[in-house]
Amino acid sequence: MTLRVASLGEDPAIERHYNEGKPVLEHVLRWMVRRLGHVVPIEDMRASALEGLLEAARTFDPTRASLPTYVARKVRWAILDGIKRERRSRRALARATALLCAERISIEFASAPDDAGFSEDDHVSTLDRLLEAHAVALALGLVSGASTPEEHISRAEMAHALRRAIDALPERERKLVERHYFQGEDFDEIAADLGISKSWASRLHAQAIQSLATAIAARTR
Amino acid sequence: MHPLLADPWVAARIDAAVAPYRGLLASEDLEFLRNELAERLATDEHAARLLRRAAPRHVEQSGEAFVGAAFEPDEALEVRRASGIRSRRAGSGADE
Repeated sequence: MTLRVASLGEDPAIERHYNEGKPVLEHVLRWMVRRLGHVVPIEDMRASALEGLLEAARTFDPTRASLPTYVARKVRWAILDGIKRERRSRRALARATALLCAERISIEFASAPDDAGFSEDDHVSTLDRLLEAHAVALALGLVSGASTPEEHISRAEMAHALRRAIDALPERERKLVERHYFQGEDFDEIAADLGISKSWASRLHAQAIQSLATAIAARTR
Repeated sequence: MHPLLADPWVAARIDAAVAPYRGLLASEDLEFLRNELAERLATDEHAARLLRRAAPRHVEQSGEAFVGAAFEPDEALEVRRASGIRSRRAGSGADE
């Protein structure tokens, strides 16, 4: 069923993007309910998801991504950001924070140069590094998003290991990670304070995550 | 469990990435990490492309080949579609 949405304005392309994006929204909602362990009811996430879809419909640029990919990313981000902002479910907060960290890494790594000419071994090694980076981003999210006493206790050892690895980062990377993950400041604010652009902050963040991944992975080597 | 984890090669790579967290995180968090890494490989464009290039392709006698042969037919199809891992005909030389 297609809908006319007053807030979309008169641009028919925006309305088309909105209606074409609705099935993607439903798919992401179901996916998110599973990922968050059925802690947050699907209808509770729908309002945030619709905000994400509206934003995606207004800002979609077909030269940069396909509509389903763009809508899925915007909707996922809106849902996770909504849970984090409203703290409607403390139990879902840590997982939502972890998924947001992984989303950020996906966005930062998506701009990496294409590696089509690599050998198969190089691809395996790059894949392993990518998985290590996502794993540490998820762990960082679980630790920094912990909001119940039980979560703090069960993740205390992880928090300690991460703290040691963070302390060993170069100063700007360390500040960026500490302020973003443990003090809840957004990237714009931290970048302005450090006197760097947001895109440079994103690159520093990706480097920091890779360094943390290497440090944590070294525990089993 | 995420269907991609039924593929032994993919599961081994994911388990290696999760290994440093054993003893640091509770089992439900470790399972969350495993499933989420598999989900990234299935849905993130960059990660899925990397997986397609890195995953070994097993050539069978019939000429059909794919990663995920351990799945039930429907599930294997779904996983291959999700991750973009393709079949390769014996001797075709086609990579992607």
